[in-house]
Amino acid sequence: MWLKESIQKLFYRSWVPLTITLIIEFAIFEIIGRKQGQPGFASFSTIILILNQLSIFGIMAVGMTFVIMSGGIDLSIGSIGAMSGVISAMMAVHFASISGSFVPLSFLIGILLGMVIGIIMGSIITLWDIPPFIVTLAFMSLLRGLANIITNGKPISPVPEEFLFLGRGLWVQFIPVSIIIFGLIFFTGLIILNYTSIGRHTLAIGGNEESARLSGVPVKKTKLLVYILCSTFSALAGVILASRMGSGSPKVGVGDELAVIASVVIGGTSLSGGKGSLWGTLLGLCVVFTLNSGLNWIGIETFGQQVTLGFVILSAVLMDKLQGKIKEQQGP
Amino acid sequence: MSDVLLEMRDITKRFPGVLALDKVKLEVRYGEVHCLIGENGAGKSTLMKILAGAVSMDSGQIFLEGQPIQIISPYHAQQLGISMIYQEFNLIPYLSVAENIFLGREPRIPGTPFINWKKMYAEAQEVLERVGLKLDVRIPVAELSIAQQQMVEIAKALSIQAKIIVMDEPSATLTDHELKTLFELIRVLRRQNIGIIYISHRLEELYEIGNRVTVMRDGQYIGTYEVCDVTREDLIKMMVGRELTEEYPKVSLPRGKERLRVKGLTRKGAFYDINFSVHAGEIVGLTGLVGAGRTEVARAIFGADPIDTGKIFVDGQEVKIHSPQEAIKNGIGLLTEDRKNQGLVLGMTIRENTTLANLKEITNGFFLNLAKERQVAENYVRDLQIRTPSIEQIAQNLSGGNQQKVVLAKWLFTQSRVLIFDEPTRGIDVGAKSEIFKLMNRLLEEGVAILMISSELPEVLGMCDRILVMHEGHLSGELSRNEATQEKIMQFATGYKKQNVA
Repeated sequence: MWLKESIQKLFYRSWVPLTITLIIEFAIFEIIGRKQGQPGFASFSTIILILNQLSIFGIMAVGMTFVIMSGGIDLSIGSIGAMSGVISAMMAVHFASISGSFVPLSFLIGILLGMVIGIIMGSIITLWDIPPFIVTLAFMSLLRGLANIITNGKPISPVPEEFLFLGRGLWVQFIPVSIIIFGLIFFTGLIILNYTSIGRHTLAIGGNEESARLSGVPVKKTKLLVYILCSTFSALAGVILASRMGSGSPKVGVGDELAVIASVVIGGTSLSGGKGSLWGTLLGLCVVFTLNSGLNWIGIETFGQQVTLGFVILSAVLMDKLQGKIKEQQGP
Repeated sequence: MSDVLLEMRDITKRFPGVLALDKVKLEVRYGEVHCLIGENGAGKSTLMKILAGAVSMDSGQIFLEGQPIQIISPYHAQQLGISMIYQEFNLIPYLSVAENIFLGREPRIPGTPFINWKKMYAEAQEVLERVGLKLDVRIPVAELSIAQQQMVEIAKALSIQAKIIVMDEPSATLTDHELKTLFELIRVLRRQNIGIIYISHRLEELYEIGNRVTVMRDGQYIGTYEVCDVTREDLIKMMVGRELTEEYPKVSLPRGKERLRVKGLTRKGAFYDINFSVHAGEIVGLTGLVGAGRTEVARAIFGADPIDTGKIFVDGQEVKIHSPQEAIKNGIGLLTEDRKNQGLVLGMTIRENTTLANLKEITNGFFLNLAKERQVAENYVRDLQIRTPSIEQIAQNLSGGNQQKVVLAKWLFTQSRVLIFDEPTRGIDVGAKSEIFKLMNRLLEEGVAILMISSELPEVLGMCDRILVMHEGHLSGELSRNEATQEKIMQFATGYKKQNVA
């Protein structure tokens, strides 16, 4: 009885099932890998590899967590990433023709572009009270089209050497710069969410917008800010991706929004808003990307990965439901 | 045949850490209105959920018409003839009345999967007539008034041949007139030998409609009595388990300086030319029938809705209020009628709800001082005697009275000098009510001015220094504490006699 209750309590803490899932993933892929004569999945270098892949999505996921917590959604992040990557690569080529030392400015321009897009989308959503699903869906299509028009559908390349730093650079020889950037963004997000009134307001709006408004919470301002945050982070992610690929392609990031939303939801953030955590998002990202890498490791390609991701999302949601049930049984 | 329709015997239910029901019993006779009373948390709803099959019991027996029954699901309970009418109705707003009544058991054209609409409409019409409601069964439920929706719920119960109908706080959202209609209907149901379990916080209703009453307290069965054999005071004593010194602990203070004045406040379609003032140390009541525009006035003063014309003065200075933020800056707080949807963020903790309206007070530069926040919340929990295991409790899990105290804590923390209470005691039990009133008294002593909107005349008469009455968007009268009576208030409220207000 006592044991059962404490196991239930442990299970109710949302990080426990995800951490267990993560460990199981590593164990399974290590075992299968060994049988295939290819040990070493559970190793430091694989973890760095996974983190490196995850970092770009992770930056988007931090912004997305805020948006979803506020009760909204942003479907445009993949297109914003592509657009910013393209513009930033074009600028890099342009600046390089003047001087190589101007190239970092191109990153800034790409990110600022994301910020501007965020201001436009956020304003439409808050000023006219239009559902974010519709507005960001429109921008997803609009920006993707624009990126293709600007580039004629072809990637911008070659790009100057200096442009590659963000995506391929290493810090003290072995830690990719993009992981460091993700780390910084993650902790910034964590601080904003837990230690500033912006974070508190975001949660309150997601929990109950009318109560928040009647408590004097600046609802429109906060929502606007949340969309700007998400767009800006997505642009940063897009710039890093362009840098890593060594080209600004209008085709990248199709479907990224789904992987990002999946990670956030797997991490326990409620799609109806008001509840969630960035640590959960990080775990969700780890579960999703370890799965992808692991499936690659044992030779299962994209299509199989898509199927598996689908199952992971479903089981995460079922798990959440189960936790709700347990909570209910524990009574008021 | 015995006259006992339903018997619940030794019902016990344990939630982890709490004994929610301890060998509780309940007996309902044919054609009886059996009232079930007790404070929030006494176990009434758990008992009813067991009867409805929504919660399983740990031990105990249930007999329906003398036969032992095992209720395994809400659907099963319905089949057995047990029908629940919850406070929040289970109607689907955009389906028609008929579709709602026959939801899940629509009559079919024999041998096909198609709905026999003709038959459904005819039968729906028939069952509506049984509850005395005359309307087109094809219109969507969303277009009905709350009272009509309740009638539809009852019609639905009748159409499944309910033997027992449980009504949970059916009167909470009804006007006096609608309540009379409901009581008429309940009398009709009684004559059809249906047993009714009636849950209400309003004791006066029980004397009007009830046959017997069962009192519960802290998960225990206290007793069952013939309504005519037991006084209101006895019932209150049994519910709270102690002598309640005063239901309305009014203190009269000298009238302080003017805190709030409104002049010519108008919003077309809602209220017109509203003039009044509230002084420090007094409670001004704002009453009238539902729909008279009281809540609208409160929301306009608070900046939640716009006004067309009119002026608002705080401490003698004219202020412009276009949003709740500006109202809060000017020291005005609003405790809304609907705590759950407008007062609290239910998914947030007590701590987070307490500071939500004044986060800047606990912000150092850019960052929240969480240690200070915890301190603030702890202080209010202690000070207002909010009953909770910790400040990290989610607001949703608190009882109505304690939720109201958290809302109050939020406004106290903003240092509001003018507090507007909209139906402050709705859905709150007797014990917690008098605690809320005592807190109001304390605020008055600290120089706060209170505007109290209420439909409960006894509470308006019991607590207010002055009473403003509204009728169809206009102030129709003002009464001092000494001259006010229920009859006078009702005269103004129904527009029987109009009089200019100073």
